[in-house]
Amino acid sequence: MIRFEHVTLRYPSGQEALRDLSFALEEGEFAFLTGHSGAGKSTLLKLILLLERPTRGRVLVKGKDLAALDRRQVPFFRRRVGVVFQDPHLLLDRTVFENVALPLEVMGFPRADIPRRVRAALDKVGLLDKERAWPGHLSAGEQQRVGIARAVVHKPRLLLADEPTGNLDPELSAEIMALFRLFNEVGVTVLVATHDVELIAPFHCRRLHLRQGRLAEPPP
Amino acid sequence: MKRRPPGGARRTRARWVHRLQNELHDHRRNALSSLRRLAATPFQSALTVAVLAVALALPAALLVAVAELERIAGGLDLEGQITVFLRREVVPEAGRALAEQLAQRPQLAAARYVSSAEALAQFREHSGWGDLVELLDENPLPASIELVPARPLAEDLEALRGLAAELEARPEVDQVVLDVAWLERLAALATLVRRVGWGLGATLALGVLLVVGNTVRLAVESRREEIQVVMWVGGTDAYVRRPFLYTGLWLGGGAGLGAFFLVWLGFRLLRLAVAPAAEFYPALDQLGGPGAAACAALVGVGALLGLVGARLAVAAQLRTLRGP
Repeated sequence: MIRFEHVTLRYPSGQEALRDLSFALEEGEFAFLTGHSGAGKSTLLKLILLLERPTRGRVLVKGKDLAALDRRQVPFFRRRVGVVFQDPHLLLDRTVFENVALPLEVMGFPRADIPRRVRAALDKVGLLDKERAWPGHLSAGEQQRVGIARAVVHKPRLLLADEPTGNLDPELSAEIMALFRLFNEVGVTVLVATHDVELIAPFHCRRLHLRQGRLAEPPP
Repeated sequence: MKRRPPGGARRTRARWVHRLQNELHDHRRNALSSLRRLAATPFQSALTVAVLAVALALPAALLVAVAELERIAGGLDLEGQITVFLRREVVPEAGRALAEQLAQRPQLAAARYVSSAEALAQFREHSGWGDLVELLDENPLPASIELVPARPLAEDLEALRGLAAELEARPEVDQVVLDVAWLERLAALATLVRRVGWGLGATLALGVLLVVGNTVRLAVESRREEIQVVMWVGGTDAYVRRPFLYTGLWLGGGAGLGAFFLVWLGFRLLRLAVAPAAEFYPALDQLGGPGAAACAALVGVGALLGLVGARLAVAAQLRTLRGP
């Protein structure tokens, strides 16, 4: 699904965020991306989303070299990926329903289909009763779940998450992780970046550990 | 998932229609929400539209004024503005024959022979110097032919000038007087004012672009978060741009309408101001103002400038948001 081949990313300042990074993630896999903050986790996810481009090396998604995508094609590529951030970036002037419906509107889904799909996504994250609520009135955990509903409402085959539990207490964090697990069980490839090693201990999943921009053995 | 059901053509067409419907819906939604956003800050929006309207109204007023001037001048009664003076040796019969011949010309409505005796009688009657004529031994006035152009002088000036030159070359003609100096001066003035109007228009159009651009830039700035999210979930540039293009369209179109109103009002006031003078110069009574075409042109130009200004501003902002 995802393949990095000798990827190096050097910022204009000269700082190297990633160094000669190679790995592959199979379709349907669930993997954690760990490492201290600044180790390059976010940068790696940004490369997959085409928010950054590698200085050297290739990033392939589903066998396709992302370097071959021109600016016009980038939006259509992003539609195949769901993404969750530490800050869910909800739009506060829109209801929960409207926030979750946004990707469907952007992608031009038939309008008649939108309510059904939005409610299915809200149902999965357990917030069906909150569709009319304003995001500002929700708890942090609920906001993050709305963000997840928005990331999966269009049923992407690949889900990326960058510190999705960064603002949450351990109990809520475990809930969120369980949600990702659920999506993985129906075949979605999931890659979760987190620095919270204790949180992922119960999951016996693949772990990609980054240290100073390189893949490293995870500390025990 | 991508299996093609039977009847593919129909299905393709259905998808096409469906996409078009979606697109139209999206345009309507954006048009309305842009309008709502402008209405949410009524004072600010009205001020922007007013500034733009004044910028559009200034050149528009000049151009409408020139058009009115030319229209009124073109319609003035210009009979007797061309006189062909004949040589002394031309006998009245030959003069009359020439007049009849000239009356057949397509550029002329009529040609009237005026004998030297008639000319003297007219002079005596109209000039107020009649007594002076008594002192002369013989009639100093030549016979002439007065030409009446078929169309307003201003429209046919070149053809009439050609005719005058041609007549002047004839042996029986002494001189042709084509009294068009004032018309030429008017035309030169009209050209000058029109050039000033276009120059001012071009300068102020740039101002309109900048004002709309700045307004849209602020609008983009205030919705950065939303644009960011839209881009993450796969919004195309066109999708991101659309609401802001409508903002520019509304501002520009509204300004065009406002400018039309200002120019219309200006001409209304002008009419009131010249009303006393119209008693002596009836032509002033014909003074109109901007019409439906001017209204359509102002709204169209305003909307276009708004659209272009918005587009430039969003493009600049998108570059900073898009990343590499």
